[in-house]
Amino acid sequence: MSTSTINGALVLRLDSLNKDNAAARAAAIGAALGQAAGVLRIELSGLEGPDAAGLAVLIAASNEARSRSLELQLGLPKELSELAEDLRLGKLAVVESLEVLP
Amino acid sequence: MNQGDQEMMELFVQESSEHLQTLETDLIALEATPGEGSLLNSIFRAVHSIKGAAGFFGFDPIVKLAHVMESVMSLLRDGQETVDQDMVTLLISTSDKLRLMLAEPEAAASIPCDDERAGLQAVLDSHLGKKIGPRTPGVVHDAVEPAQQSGGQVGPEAGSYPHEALTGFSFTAASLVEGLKHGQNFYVVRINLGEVQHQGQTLKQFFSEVRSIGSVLDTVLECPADIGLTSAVGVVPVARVFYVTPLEPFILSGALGIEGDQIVEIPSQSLKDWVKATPEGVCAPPPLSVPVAVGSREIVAAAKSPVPAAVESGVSKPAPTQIDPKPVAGQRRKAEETIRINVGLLDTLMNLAGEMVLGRNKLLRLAGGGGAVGDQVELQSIVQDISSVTSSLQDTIMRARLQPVGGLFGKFTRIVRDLSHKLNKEIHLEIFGDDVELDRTLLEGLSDPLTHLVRNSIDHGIERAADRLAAGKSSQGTVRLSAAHLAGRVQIEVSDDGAGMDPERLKAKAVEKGIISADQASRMSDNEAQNLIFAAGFSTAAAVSDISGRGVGMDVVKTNIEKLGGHVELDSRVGQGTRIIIRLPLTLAIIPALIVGCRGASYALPQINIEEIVRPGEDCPLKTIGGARVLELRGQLIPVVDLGEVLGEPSVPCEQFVVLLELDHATFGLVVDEIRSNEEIVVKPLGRHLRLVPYYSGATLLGQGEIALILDPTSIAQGRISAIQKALGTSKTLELQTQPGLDSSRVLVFHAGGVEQLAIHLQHVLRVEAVRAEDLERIGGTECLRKNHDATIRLLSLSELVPVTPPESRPSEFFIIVPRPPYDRIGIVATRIVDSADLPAAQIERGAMAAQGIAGSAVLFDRLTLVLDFSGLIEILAGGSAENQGSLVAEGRFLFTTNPSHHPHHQIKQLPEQSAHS
Repeated sequence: MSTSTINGALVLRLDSLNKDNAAARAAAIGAALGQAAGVLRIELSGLEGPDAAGLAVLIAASNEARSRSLELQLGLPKELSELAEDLRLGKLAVVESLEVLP
Repeated sequence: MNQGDQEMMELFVQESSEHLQTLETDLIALEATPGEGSLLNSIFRAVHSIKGAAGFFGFDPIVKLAHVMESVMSLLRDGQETVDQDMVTLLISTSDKLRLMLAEPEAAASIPCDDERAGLQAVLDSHLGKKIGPRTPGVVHDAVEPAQQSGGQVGPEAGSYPHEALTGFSFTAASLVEGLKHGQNFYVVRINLGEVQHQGQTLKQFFSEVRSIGSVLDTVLECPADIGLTSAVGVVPVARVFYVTPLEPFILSGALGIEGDQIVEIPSQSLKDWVKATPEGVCAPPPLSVPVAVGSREIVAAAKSPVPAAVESGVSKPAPTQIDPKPVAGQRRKAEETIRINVGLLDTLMNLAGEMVLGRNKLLRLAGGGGAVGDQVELQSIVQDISSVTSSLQDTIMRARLQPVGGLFGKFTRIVRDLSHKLNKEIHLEIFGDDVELDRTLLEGLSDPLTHLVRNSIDHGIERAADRLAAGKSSQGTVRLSAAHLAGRVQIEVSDDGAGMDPERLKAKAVEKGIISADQASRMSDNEAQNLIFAAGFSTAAAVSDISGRGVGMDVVKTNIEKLGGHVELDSRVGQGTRIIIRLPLTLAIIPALIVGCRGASYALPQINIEEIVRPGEDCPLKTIGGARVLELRGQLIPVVDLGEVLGEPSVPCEQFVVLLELDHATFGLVVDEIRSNEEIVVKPLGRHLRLVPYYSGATLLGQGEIALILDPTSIAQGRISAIQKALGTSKTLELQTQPGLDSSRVLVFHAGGVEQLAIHLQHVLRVEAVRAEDLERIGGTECLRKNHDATIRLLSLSELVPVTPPESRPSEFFIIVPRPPYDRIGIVATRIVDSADLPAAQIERGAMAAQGIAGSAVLFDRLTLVLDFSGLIEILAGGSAENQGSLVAEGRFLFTTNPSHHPHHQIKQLPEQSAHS
């Protein structure tokens, strides 16, 4: 888990998002939302993608980003593009493939 | 549904009901102060919370209705629409429908709400100024559809959903065409993502399978409303997937490992129809396709969005509906099974429970110690500790049961609003003391009676504006609800400043309905006439309406209040208004009681009814008069009932006690064998098999482990006292003789058959009896009434004693006024009882009218009234004609003495008693 700023967007990199680390990840996302100015991008590099608990955290993050007038971006490996499409994660955040992200 | 789900469901219903109550109260307040920001925000939050929670449970009809209401509230909040009476009525009507839906959330779709939805949609249309396409009857419509945040499919027009189960999904007609063309099946599949993982699959694997057997047309992820990052942990989202596949439902169920009831098949025909009607149609939900996770911002965006909605134009708002705000049974059941308790109280309970555990451990240790020396001292110490903790525990739990009456009073804002509109009356509701607390059982029992009273005040009490103005009042009437603590009880008042109750009209109606005879009516006091409203079947309403007029309300009110251990009083003044006062105990669960013994068994008597305990003796003997048992106590005769006889137990000779019980201004004595103890008892309801047995209100377990039945004094009195009243001649008997501490300035106003109105001080009156002429007997030219084998009352006509007009004729039914002992064997004839009244001595004009037997005159009830001098009457009686004196003596019942120590004037003693004591 790490954070950096790229092109004005605060980037939070996570290797996984699941029930085992949901609390810690939620806290980290919350902190990042507090620091971000304009855009927060969450990059999830694990090929498994989020589990149900991780999805709940993403939904919560989407809500809080909206309430703070922030744009939420979600970077996922291309292996997860179908899952993202099936779950319509695009309704929660701007979904992009990690491979095309800077 | 497992137990956890059931509990969550009940919590949902309870919380949503509370939101609705807030919403309703705020809406009514908003009507008075349109544009009040805090109210608008509060209402918006309430609707939003209901919508979110309903979405979590998948109650789509509730979500849809709440959503469109929320959208309208958003417009109001932003000042883009104005609040007026029609708008409030529409929103309240919608709130009613939500309430009905919440009563049975699973069957919410069966609640018709087309009018409300159309009305709200019309508001939205009106705001957007664009109407598109005809509205298909019976088709579910959604509110304004905004553009998607990203990757959206929404085109220039958003339309209505082809099937209710599709609500919330985004799709286009074009996306359906392929599946329809190949005869595939369309489903909405509800997938618990947590269960997927429990089956050993990752989401990626599961959706890979989903994709392999069909196509996902859209997905909606559902989570609890307003889920935040701190509350997200542990939450499991549910995915609703709009899906097309060639598989049949049962095969799909097996393939995906999903229960069949989680799959809803969408009829292809309805989709075909929709596509045919709107080949370029678009369906989309509110701003984001996560309806339950939608925050407030996008709702504002929805309202502001220029994207038009596909709804018909010109939909009118529904007419104001008359909805009974009383929750339906199911909702009430669910909502009332739980109460909210202050956390501090729970902490206290927890501490006390801990102390109880410590006490138990000490006892266990002592019990296992084998009875060592000094154990007794330690045992006493432990028992004291446990006793102290138990008392604290009891107090704390009782406090937890107490709830403010404000929750109950709050619902009347709606009732007053609805009825005042319906009846076209201007009515203002005032509420006082809404923080007064009452046991929740009492609050539940009070709801219906108070509703009756408030409705009656509005319907019958408050006049129409024109009538009020004509009567010199303001056009707006006031109904006041108040609660206050009073001497360990709670007093609740419902009052109004309306027309009051006209006793003469009430009498006439009662006669017309056959409740009383015309003769009885003529003898009734104003207060008695007003109390006729509590008679079963009594109503003065000219027509039965949905508000009142069936004549069951006040009867039920009185009965229900008495069941709660309370009583009702009425104070009404013509032209000024009516007050109805209800007095209730604080709680019914634990009550102080007197434990009495009767024929060997123990019974509990609620102490709230106990006035005094008397051991009968020479000073206060038990007597039998007219076949009725009475206790003579301090110059009053009090009817008594033997508990053993009431319960059908054979009489046993023993020293007895009389417990004097006060009931609603009447006192009677209950004869018991023993007074055993005073205890605070825990009231337990009687089993089903004993519920119909009269005389008992419950049962309790005494300290010694013995079961005691709790006596119901009201029930005992109802049967027995009426029998005593019959034996003594009239129902007025008890009223008069049991009024405690009669004020010496109080007079009884009556007519004796002549033209004069007369008054006699009530301190001299024992009772008033109704008499029928046919029951009289003549003995030596004197009229007598034989009460039983050893008592005869001689009738006296006042015209024979004092200068008043003699009666032209005597009616077939009349009254006798019986003086207090020792003059209780004479009866002064009265043809009509007017009422009682206060008459201070200073107001008696002792001039021209004064004579022997007449103290003077006064104006009472707008008439000149001769006030009798009772002492003077006795003097006349004793020292009058030889014929009168002779007849009294000849009966062998009275002895005239001149002993001033017995009486300031002449003394009349009963010979039998005299001889018995000598």
